[in-house]
Amino acid sequence: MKNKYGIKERLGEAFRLYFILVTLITILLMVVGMLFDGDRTFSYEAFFSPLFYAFIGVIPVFFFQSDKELSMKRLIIRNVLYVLIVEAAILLIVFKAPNIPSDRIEVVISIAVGVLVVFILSLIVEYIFELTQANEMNAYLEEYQKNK
Amino acid sequence: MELRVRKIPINESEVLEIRCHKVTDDVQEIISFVKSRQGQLSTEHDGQRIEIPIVDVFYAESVDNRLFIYTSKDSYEIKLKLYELEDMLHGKTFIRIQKGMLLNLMKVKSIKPALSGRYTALLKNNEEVVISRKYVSGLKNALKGGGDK
Repeated sequence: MKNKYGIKERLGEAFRLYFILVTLITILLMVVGMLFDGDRTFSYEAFFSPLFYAFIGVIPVFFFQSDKELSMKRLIIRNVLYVLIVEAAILLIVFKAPNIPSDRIEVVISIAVGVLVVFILSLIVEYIFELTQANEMNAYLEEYQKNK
Repeated sequence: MELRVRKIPINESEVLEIRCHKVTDDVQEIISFVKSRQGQLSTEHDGQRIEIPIVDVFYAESVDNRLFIYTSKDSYEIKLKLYELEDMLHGKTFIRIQKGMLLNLMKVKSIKPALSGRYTALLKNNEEVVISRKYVSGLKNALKGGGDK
């Protein structure tokens, strides 16, 4: 039986998470930008921002995976650590980037809250994806039990 | 132990007889294997030897190198290793869902997602067991009819 959760599976998971994050970060940037810096205009380079931030958000996937099956408590602790690391990385970029008004506390708070919201939304999107998979498996299960 | 196989006429009943000085764990393992081939698992319960029909088994779990099978309400220890039981049950309705657990798919009521790529199987006795993400693709293949190999 194929049961290794190896690099291929992790890449697949990271790939899926990456595109979920790109979408959610694009929405976050739009909302925060319209709230605090609505008149500003950008060049086409701005399209790279969601891709870059999503990449930062995906990196911990490769360091937070364990071959051992985690208990619910450990899983929650892992997710909290995950979001703290992503928060720290994003805020570091915010304070280093010259074009982000990091001197305005409301901007920094909005970005920090936004990262948390994106993280929670990404979990919800993942859950919806898994729910679809579960529904598919339930349909196959019904057929399986009928035919045995 | 000497092994003898003798062909008999078709009108005679097939018999497997074990002649031993003592029913050791090895002998018990052979008995368990033969019983499992006949659709039963042999175990002891309250000092008495009993046979559990495989179709009644909900799941089997290895705990601290001991193997337990779970029926609707009871659990029994059997003198086998998990991989041996898995081999015996190959082609039947059992599939590995955790490193130490085999699940009878006929006893599953529904499957729902848990966190982080894991799923939970709700059994027909309302018990829940976790399907490890490592084994999800194997489960999907088995349910689709592709087998678990």
